[in-house]
Order: sequence, then structure tokens, then C-alpha cells
Amino acid sequence: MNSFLLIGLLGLAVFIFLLIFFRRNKFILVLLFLAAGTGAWIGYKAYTRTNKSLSFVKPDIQLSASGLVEEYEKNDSVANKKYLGKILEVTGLVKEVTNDEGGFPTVVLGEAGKLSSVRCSMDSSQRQDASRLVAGTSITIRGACTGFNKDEMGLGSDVILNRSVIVEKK
Amino acid sequence: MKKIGLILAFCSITAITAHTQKLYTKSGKISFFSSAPLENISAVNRSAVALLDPVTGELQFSVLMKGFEFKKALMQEHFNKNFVESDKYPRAEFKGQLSNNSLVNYSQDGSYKVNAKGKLTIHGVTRDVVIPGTITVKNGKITAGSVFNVLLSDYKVTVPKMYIDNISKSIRVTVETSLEPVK
Repeated sequence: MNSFLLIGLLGLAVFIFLLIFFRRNKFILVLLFLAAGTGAWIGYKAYTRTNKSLSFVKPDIQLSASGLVEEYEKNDSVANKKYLGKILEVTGLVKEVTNDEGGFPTVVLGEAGKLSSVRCSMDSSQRQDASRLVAGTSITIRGACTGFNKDEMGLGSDVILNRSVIVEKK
Repeated sequence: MKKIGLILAFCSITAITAHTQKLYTKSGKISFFSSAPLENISAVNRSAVALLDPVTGELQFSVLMKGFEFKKALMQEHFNKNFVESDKYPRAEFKGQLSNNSLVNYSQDGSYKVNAKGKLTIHGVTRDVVIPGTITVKNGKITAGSVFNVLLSDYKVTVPKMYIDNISKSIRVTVETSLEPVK
């Protein structure tokens, strides 16, 4: 037996009991239905809540791409405390744009000569705009910081932003 | 005649050396799927790092657990907090070798079945595994993919009784990567 179901059934039983108990009092009956309705609605909303599009979310921190990489390279656990899970607005130069098999773009921010970068996995709403970007463009991207891929394979270290959206292009 | 021979020899050498370079990606796609009586859950991560040495068959994968995106935000929070404890164990890794790498011709179009033998680390638990996969060569483009199952109990991921009908004990993992030579 699933506990969600159990709680639901229990709630229903209490609801029916109260319904019978107060069947002569219309005012309480109306209140009862309202309470049950809002309860169910709040539960449903909490359960089906999706990740908000970052297009309309205020960033927690604004900084430069190179600054972010530097802080992570210096000490990633300190940087994680500061940035992990936060909404960052990062400004830097587009190094390249890669598309995966499904056509989802990743915009890489960083300096041409350096291996390390900020990799912004773009939100599906940004597919077209991101694919049109050219290397060298100065850009500001907002994304959820999901952590640091420390270099263990000689490929450079990267800070990863998820669900990224383009804020400003110059 | 000698010249042509030399040119041919040179060409064949460059053709061979073209695939001694290591192959990598930083935007590998790893998704997983759980099918349970009450609901199906899937999540995807598009920032997996992979490195493959076509000469030795050495293979490495690394993925940040926090980078898995779910449809429902609540699930994503539970996944990170209660199941894989991504603050404590931020990433999952595979380090190993293709046990039949010699069968793969990286410069000839085709689809090659391979086995990756090595150590898989999830949730801080490392286990010896053999993962079946496919390496596909098409017009010089190399892709590597795999579908395999992970038992949650193998990696000490405990599902609270409350969710027993919501989450499968065995999770299907799908890996899709498109590899390019290391610059």
C-alpha cells in the first residue's frame, strides 16, 4: 500500500464523516467543501510543480564567466557553497556552440586559448537563438549552477549551468 | 611509380593516425527511466563528459548528479536530497576499458557492439561492472551509446517505504554521446 494513497483515503474518510456529522448545518458544509477543495488543489499543485523558466526569474548573483571559473578552480568547495543551485547571470565571450544529437545546444563561454569554461546547457525555448550565436560574441546568460566538472581527463574544468536562457547579446 | 607508392603509403599512415587521437565530448546525454506501478519518472543530463582512447580502448565518463533535469521540480528535489545525496556525492563516474576494442575499426563506417568493463561509481559506491554498448562510425563521425540497468540497492540508494510504488528498484540508464577528437 502506498502511503500517499493511504493519506488520501484517510482524508476522504474524515471528510465523509464530517459531512454526515454536519449534514444539517449548511454553513459548515460549505466551509468543509471549500477546505477540501483548496487542500486537494494545493496538494496537486505541489506535486506537479515544474521548474520555472529562467526567463522571468531574478538572478541571485551576477558575475563574469572568467571570474566564476577562477573561483571554482581556486577552491571548488568554497565556490560550491556560494554558487551551487543558485541562479547565476554570467557575462562572457562565446567560445563555441555545440548541438547534441537531439539538437539541444550548449553555449560555451570562455577565452579562446583556455581549456576551462562555463558550459551553459540551454533551455529548450532557446534552441533557435542559441544555434545562431557566433564565436566571439559578448553575451549574458542566466542559468542554474549545477556544479563543477573538475578536470581529471586533461580536457579542462568546467562550471555547468542548466536551463540557461540568453539575457543580453552585444 | 615509386612516387605514387610513397603517396599511397603516406595516405594510409595519415588515415591510421587520424584515429589514434583521443575522442571526447563534454555534452554527452545521459538519461534514466524508472517505471513503477504509480508513475513513470525520467530525467536527463546533457553535460556528461566522456573520454575514449581508440588505441587502448580506455573509457571514462563523468556526470554531475545535480545536472539531471526532471519534469517535476519536486522529484528533482527529492532525487538530489533523499536518494543520491548529491551534496555529499556530487558526481557519478565510470572508469574502464572496452574489452573488445580491437574489433572496432574507427575509420570504417559501421556499428560495433562493445563491452565496457570497469568501475562504476554512483552515490559514493564503486562496483565492478560490464556495460554493453555500441560504437557507431558514420562518415567519420563517431558516436558511442549504451542502455543498461542499475539496481538502486547495489549503490545503497534507499527508497523510503512511502515511495515504494512510485520508484522502480531497477533504473534504466541511456547514454548517447557524439565524440570528437581532442584538439
